[in-house]
Amino acid sequence: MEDKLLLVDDEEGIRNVLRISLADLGYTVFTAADGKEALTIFKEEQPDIVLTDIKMPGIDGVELLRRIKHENPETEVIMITGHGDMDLAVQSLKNDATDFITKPINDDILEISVQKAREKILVREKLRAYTANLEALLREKSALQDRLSSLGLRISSISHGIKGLLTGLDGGMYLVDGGLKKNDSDQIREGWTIVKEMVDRIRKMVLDILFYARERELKPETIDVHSFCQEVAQGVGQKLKERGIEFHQDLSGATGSFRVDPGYLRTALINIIENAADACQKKEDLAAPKVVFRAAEENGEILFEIADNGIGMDEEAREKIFELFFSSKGSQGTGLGLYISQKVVGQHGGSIRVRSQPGRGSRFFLKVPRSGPEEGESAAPA
Amino acid sequence: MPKKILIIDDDPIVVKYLQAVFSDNGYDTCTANSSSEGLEVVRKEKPDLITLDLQMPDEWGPRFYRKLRKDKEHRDIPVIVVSGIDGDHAIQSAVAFVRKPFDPEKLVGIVKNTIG
Ligand SMILES: Nc1ncnc2c1ncn2[C@@H]1O[C@H](COP(=O)(O)OP(=O)(O)OP(=O)(O)O)[C@@H](O)[C@H]1O
Ligand SMILES: [Mg+2]
Repeated sequence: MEDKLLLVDDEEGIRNVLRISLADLGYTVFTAADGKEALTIFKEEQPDIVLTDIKMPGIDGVELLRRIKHENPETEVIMITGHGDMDLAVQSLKNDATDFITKPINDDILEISVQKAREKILVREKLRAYTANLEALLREKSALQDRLSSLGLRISSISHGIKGLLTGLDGGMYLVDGGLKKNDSDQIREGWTIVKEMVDRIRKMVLDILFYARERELKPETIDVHSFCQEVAQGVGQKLKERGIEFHQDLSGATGSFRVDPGYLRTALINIIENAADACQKKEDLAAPKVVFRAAEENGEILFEIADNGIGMDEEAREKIFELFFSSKGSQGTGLGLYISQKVVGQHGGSIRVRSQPGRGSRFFLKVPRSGPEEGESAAPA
Repeated sequence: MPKKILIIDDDPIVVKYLQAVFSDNGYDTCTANSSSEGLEVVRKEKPDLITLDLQMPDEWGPRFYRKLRKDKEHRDIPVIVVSGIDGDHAIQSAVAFVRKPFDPEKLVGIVKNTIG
């Protein structure tokens, strides 16, 4: 894409010299000899960047700047100043000029200044693309509201999670905006990282909900209990070790076969194991963070047990953890994990129980009958 | 001397956001990520105003508020609730109740009206 640049100066010599330098930098250059001509060209060509002399007969540079900003506030306007234009320069600053370069113009300084303007425009475009993306996601979300309410989910329970993420997103954008105004690239970078993270989280959340709210048939298969558990343990155990958490498994009682949807049941278990790991990491000065995964036969059913020595929880929390979007993790958690786990286990004809005390770790018990779900049972939350 | 605002919120991103908003408007800030830390910071920093989140992991905002009101020296510090929860009844004598996501200009307006 060729970028358009408008160059305004009443001296023909300067126009010619600068036009060549700017064309060398890869811009499509339009020139104007005064403010009036400049405004006509500006409206026709919509250049992203305008380079204008500050002192001109008729409409001067400051007035031109003001009118251009009025026409399109996102135009980057660089002012060319001479000696003794201090007052005009101050006025330009007040009107949001991007930069100044002084006559006689040095080619390197010209290049840096135009490049800076270009970068500002790029960041803004990226930000806009992200925001558009996000709006599309949120539109999907509102289509989803109908679906969810038909499932009996109260939107108010969803809204809290979403509000937190949107606030974070606002924060990121605010930092980017401020950074752009102050030309503070550290702040821009910091804000940008937050924007990206928030958009990712919102995306993940919306996609998760879409996935689990969709009418989808469970696909039960008859599989070996022990190898299923082994597979779950292997994947998640590695991750926990990387986070410095000890992972123990005891699968000696996990014998025979059962009939389950392995993909769904694996998700249900992994959600709980990941929570256990989070709980360990949240506990300060925990010397030996540890998660234990057990599976065994009990009264003809398979009993899974996941225990951690993390922060634990009080009664108030215990009552809420299975609610959609209940999370104590701020922007680090969406509160979908246990909601999903409970639905999945319920659809398998099983149940989840919790035992926990603040500061004393938690134990989750999942009971799953060997017979599993009926063939073709709907996997949508009941 | 610039006025000082204490920000209490468990979400580090929200804290950073509020810090940027307030310092861009000429205020000093200090922060706490929980109710209990909030009380300590109040005593140490003696802020002119407090923004308080309601839902936080260990101790919720209202409990902080009750403790603050029992502290004779600091009971009159104005509190603005900034929270995603609907329920302005939770803290009745708060100066204002601002819902997340919030409009930074409005928030600054409330702060200015309260402490100048
Ligand atoms: N093992 C545990 N120990 C202590 N608290 C727990 C444990 N498991 C769950 N919780 C609490 O239950 C809440 C809900 O858990 P859930 O998995 O549904 O959401 P989340 O982990 O916060 O977010 P995500 O959607 O990313 O899983 C957690 O935020 C945490 O407060
Ligand atoms: Mg979780």
